[in-house]
Amino acid sequence: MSVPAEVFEQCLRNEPRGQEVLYKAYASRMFGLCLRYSSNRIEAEDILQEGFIKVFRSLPTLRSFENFDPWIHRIMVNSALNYYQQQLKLKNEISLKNEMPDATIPEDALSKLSYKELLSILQGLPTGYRTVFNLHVMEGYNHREIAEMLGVSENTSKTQLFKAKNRMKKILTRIL
Amino acid sequence: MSQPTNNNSGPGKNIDDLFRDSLGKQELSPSPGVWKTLNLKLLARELMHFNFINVPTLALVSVAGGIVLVASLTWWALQPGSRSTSETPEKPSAQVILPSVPAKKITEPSVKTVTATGNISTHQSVISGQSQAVVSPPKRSQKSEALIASNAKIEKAPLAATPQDASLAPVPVVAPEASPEVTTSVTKERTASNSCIQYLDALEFSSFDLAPNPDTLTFIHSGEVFKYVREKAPVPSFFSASLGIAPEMALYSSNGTKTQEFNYFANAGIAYHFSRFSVRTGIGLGYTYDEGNYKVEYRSNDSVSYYKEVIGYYPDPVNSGKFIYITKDHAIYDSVTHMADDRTRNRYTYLQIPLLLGYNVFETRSFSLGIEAGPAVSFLISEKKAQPVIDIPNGRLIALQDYSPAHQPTNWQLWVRLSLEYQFTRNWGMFINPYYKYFITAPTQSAEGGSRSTQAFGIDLGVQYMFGRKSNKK
Repeated sequence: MSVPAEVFEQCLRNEPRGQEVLYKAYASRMFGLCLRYSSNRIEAEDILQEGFIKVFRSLPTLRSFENFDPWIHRIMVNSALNYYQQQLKLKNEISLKNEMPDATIPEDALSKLSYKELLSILQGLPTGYRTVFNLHVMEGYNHREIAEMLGVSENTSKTQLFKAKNRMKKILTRIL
Repeated sequence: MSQPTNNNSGPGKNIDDLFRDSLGKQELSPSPGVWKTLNLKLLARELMHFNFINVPTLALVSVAGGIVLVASLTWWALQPGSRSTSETPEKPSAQVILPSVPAKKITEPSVKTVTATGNISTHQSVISGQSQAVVSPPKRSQKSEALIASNAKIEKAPLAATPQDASLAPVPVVAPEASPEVTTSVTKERTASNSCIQYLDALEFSSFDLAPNPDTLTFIHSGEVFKYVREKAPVPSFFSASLGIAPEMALYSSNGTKTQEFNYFANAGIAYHFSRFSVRTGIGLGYTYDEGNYKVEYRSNDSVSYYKEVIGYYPDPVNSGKFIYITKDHAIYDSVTHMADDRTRNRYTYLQIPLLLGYNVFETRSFSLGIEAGPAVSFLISEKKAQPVIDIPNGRLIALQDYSPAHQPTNWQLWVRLSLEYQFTRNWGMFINPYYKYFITAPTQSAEGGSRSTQAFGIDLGVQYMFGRKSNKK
C-alpha cells in the first residue's frame, strides 16, 4: 500500500489531516493483525491505538518512507507484545526434543471453516500460546528470535508453540 | 462483519498453513470511535510534549504581553477608584433612626464624622435627635447606676414623648434588645463603621448597651434610642507582584545512580489574595544543569607486551656449567582500541509556569506564614551541550557517542512550598519560600531510554509589591 509522501510530511508536522489519512490507509490491515494477537475486539482496538501513537511518535526515526509497511507491521507487533507484557512472562519450560504434534487436518473439513471461526479459535488460546503461535507461524520468526523478543528461553518458545498447536488441533477436531 | 470462508486450503494443509492463509492478510475495519479516541490522545500528547523551541520568539512575546495586559486590566477593573461611580457621594459610615414615636414627628439625625485627632471632648461626632445638637456623654457612673436601678423595669418603662420630657425623666430605661415589645416599636438597626463604634465606645456610650453583643451599640440620648450595628468588614482582597531568585538542588535518580545539580531560577509572579487565600502564577526562567556523558572510542599504539633481548652472557661463578644471561626489555606495540568516558556539564534553559493555591496559616501586621501548592509546567527553551575534550596522544578517534540524558521539551511538576512573608511597609514586603518540586513527568531520560526520577529542593527569595492594600493586616 502506498501513501503519498506529502501525507508523511504532514504527519511529521503533526498535522491531524495527514495523520487521519495515514490511519485510514492502514487501520484495516493493522486491525486484522491486532485481532490475531488479542483475545477480543476491545483489546485489539487498544493495541491499534497504542500502535498508531507509537507510529506517529516514531515517524521521524524512519529513514525511508519506502520501508513504512514492514516498519508499521513491526511496531504493531511490538505494541501487542507490550500490551500483554505482564502475561507473557512464560515460565513453563519443557524439553520437547523438537517434538511437534501431527496437526494435519482433513482437507475437506478445513474449507468449511470461516475466518471468524479461525479467529475465534486463535483468540481463545491463552496469551502465551497465542503470542508464540503468531510470532512463529504468522510472522515467521524462529524460536531464537522469539525467545529474545519475549525474554524467555528457546525451549519455552517451543513449548508454547507445541501446546498452542495441540490445543488448536483438539478444538478443530471437536468442531469438525 | 463479512465472514469469508477459507478457500485456500489445499491438500495436506496443516494448521500452520490454514491460519497463515486465512488470517494473514485479513483486513477488518475497526470501530469509528477508535480514530476519535486516537485523535484525542494525539492531541493530548502534543500538548503534554509541547516543544517550546519551535515556537517563534514573536509568539512567545505576544503571549507574555497578553498575560500582562489581561492581568493589568483585571487589576485596574478591581480597583475602587477606577469605577465610574467614584463621583457619587460617599456613603455615610453610620445612620441613626430615631424611635418612631407616633405622636411626635422626629427628624432623621445627622451623623457627621470629624477625622481630626486630639482631645476627645473636642473631637465631635455629632449625633442628635435634633439637628446641630451636640451630644454630651453622660458620666459613666451615673449611667451605670441608673441602668442597674432601672434594670428590673426595662420592659415597662415608657419612652419619653419628647426630648425635653426625656431630659427630665429620672432614668433612661429603654433596652430595645431586652424587650421585644420595645425593640420592634422604637428602633431600627443601622450600620456603623468600626471606627464609629469605637469612637462612640470611647465616649462611654457603650455603657448603655444592654445587649452583650459586641457588634451592636445601643444608647439613649434625650429620651431617644440610638442603635448602631457594626458594619461587617469586607473581605480584604488585593493583587501582588513579586520578583525573586531561587537557587535549587535537583536530585536525579536512575537505576540506582543518583546525581545532583544546582540550578538557578529567576521568577516573576502575580498573585491575587482574598482573605487568607491566594492564587499565584507567574513565569520563571532558569538555568538547570545536568551531567553529559560521552563514550569515546579511539585506537592507539600501545605497549601490549614485551620481549627480552639477550645482549650478553657469562658463566655463572657459583654454579659451574651454567650461564647468566644479560637481557634487555623491548616493548611490543600494537594498535589497541580503547573506550573512554568523558563527562561534561550541560546547561538547559527552562521556562516554568506555576499555578499555586495558598493559605495563610498565621499572620500578624508584618509577618505571615502560609503554605502554597499546585501544579507547574516547564518548557525547555534551549540546551547548551558542552563538547567533550578529546586528547588522544598517538591515537585515532574512531567513534564518539553521546550518552547524555535526553531532556524532554515539556514536563509537569507538583510544587509545595512554605510562604514566609515580611512586610516592611504597607505595600512592600519580602519573602523567603522554601519549596519542594516533585516531577510528575520525568524531565529527563537516561541514554538507555529509562526515565530518571527527579526531585528538587530550593528557596525562593525576593520582594513583592501589594497593589491597593488598605493596611498591613490582611
